[in-house]
Amino acid sequence: MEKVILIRFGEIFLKGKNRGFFEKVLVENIKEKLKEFDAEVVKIPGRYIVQKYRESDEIDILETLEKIPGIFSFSKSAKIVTDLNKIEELSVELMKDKKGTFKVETNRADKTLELNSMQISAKIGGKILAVNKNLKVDVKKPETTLFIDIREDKTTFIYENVIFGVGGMPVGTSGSGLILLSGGIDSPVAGYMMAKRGVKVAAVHFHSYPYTSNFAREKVEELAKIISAYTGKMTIFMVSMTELQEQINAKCDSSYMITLLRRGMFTIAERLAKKYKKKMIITGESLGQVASQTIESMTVVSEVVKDTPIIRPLVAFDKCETIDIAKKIGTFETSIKPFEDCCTVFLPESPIVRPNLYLTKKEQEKIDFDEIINRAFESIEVVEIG
Amino acid sequence: MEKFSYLDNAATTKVFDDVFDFMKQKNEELFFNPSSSYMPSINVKKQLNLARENITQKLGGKNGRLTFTSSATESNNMVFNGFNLRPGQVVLISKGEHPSVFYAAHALEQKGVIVKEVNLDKNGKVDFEHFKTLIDDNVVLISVIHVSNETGAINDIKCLCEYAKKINPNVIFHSDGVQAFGKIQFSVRDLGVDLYTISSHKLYAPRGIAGIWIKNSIKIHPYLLGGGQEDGIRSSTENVLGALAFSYVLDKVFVNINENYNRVIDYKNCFIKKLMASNISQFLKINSSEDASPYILSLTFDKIKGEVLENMLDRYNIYISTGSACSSKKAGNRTLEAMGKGESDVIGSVRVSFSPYLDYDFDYIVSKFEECVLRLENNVKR
Repeated sequence: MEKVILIRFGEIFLKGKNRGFFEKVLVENIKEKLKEFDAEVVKIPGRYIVQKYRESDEIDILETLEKIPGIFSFSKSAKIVTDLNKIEELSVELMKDKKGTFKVETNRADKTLELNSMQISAKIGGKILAVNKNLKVDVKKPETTLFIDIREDKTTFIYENVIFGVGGMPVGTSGSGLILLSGGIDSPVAGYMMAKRGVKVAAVHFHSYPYTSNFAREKVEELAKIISAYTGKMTIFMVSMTELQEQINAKCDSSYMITLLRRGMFTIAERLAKKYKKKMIITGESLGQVASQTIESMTVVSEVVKDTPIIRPLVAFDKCETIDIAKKIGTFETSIKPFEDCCTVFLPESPIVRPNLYLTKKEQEKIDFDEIINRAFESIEVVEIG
Repeated sequence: MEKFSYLDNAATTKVFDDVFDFMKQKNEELFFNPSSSYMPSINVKKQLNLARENITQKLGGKNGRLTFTSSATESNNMVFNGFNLRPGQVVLISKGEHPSVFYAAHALEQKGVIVKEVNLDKNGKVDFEHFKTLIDDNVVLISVIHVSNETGAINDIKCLCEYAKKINPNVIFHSDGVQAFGKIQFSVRDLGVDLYTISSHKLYAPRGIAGIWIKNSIKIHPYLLGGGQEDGIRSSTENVLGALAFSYVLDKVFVNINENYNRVIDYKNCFIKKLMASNISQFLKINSSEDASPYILSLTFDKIKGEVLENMLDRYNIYISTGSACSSKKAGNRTLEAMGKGESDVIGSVRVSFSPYLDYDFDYIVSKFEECVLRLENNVKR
């Protein structure tokens, strides 16, 4: 018997002729993520298995698999050569210390066996009962289910628990996108959600150093590091908005600070998207959450983006729903660290809630917007995470 | 001239270059565990005790013993956890303590110990009149910082200690001397304290070694239990090379303690003079009093944020701090608030701390202060 981890993929099955492509991307992603462990990832029909790993790495490997989009579920499993006597022997051994109710569930892909799956379950269940008097059969709601998965290639997997992964699609199968990563609660969640839909995510972070601190920048890197467990390696483009903010502060109506600043951010985001061939801009905006996220603000701000789709996966989320996900993926504690991101510096006393495009453009004309954006774009720093 | 202007020596200092050679050489003969019984170990123990005696002598503390610890934070925590305080007993600290005293003291409240805080006066020193009103028989432990890590204010520990012991002879008096030792002259015996905290890395020696001086009559309960090192007061395999390096560096520092002091006074005066003559003098407020330790200078520039100024100067390789590095991640500044400074003065405050072993080009530094402060005053103020 060999201890392995059996991996099942979910939606990939639906992809028909593309299935080969999806499977290939997923196995590459798994290999990349497990690179730090001395483990072998192999493909068998309809499954992947991780094998030949050090037992002491098992928990870390399971935790890593839990975060790889495209994996539906996985199980710690025993792998043996298909032989009914051996399957029986091992099943009895695995169940010998159990108590309460149980059932055996067999999946038989190997049609050369004489017994069908029901018959195999019944036969093995009987043997287990004969040896362990503390067990009773309950096929409806058993406390323990012993799964016997007999594959076409004369191997059989026997396991108890099924651990669910994040599901979704393998990162890289839905193109690539650029997330506006602020350091708050929402944007890391948005990034995670798009990674779960197969998008290879890069990030752009806008700061106002020296008005924002180095700690704020570290915080963003920390957040990117956390979500890179799901997204894989991530590039962050660090962009300074200091000059734009100073100019708006000096020359424009202060209530337009955030509107104009965000127009600057989206202009730069689209330029970056084009330069680095990202097919979408992703934001953590949620409708009506703050002044800059009313539909009027979104409209006036997105006007600067010419032909790149803006995806807002959280647009209809309540804050508490976003927080639940942030806690689940482990970004919440970092997000609430109290370092200012660039939106809170120069914060106007009353930001405009429903800006209109005409007046916004009038305000924008008071500064040399394009030149400032050019300079910001030229001084972008690139940081690689993960 | 240095390639940078390091004005954050109250946070930590650069270790003297020759210390590493010294440690490397000592490592050859003294790497043994001083608790073992073979001859080389006995020698290690001897050397460790020589370092202990040397440092104790520099503290002027023949009536006590120095216990080596890993940090001043540990020393301060030892004090508050070393006397099995009971519910209803009173611990008195000042409002200008380092976080390692402030939080260690307040943690005792969970056990029912009452923690009282004595006010500071406008110069940042303990308000003696208020102090007097708080001393009674219920006070078992007092902790007052010797030199403020925020403003450099020097507390008259001798006077406070004398008064407290006159009213309550059983009271235990501790002082955190991290910013005082090796910088201003005093002796712990003369101060009259029972416990005194010192640290190595503020004095050009490595991190990871510090101490707590304990008067002979004081019985402190161990905080770390184990092999019984340091007379059972602080178990842990001794950091022999650290202790030796600390002692080695102190020899050099103490030879020049007056010269260093005068040099730093010159630095402070020169810096202030040039700031006063600059275009930002009208925004400048000096939070440190004139009789404070010259090693630490707290300033406020009107209506700007200290943190932003710190970030801006960083670009010119000028490194200052917004308050003590250990507390600067949290908003506010307990010491300045206790001195009665308003919110904007606290937010706008920065701490500049000098080293006599570094050279400073104050023309350059002040010109960059001027540039940054003017930019901020123009931009932020509306």
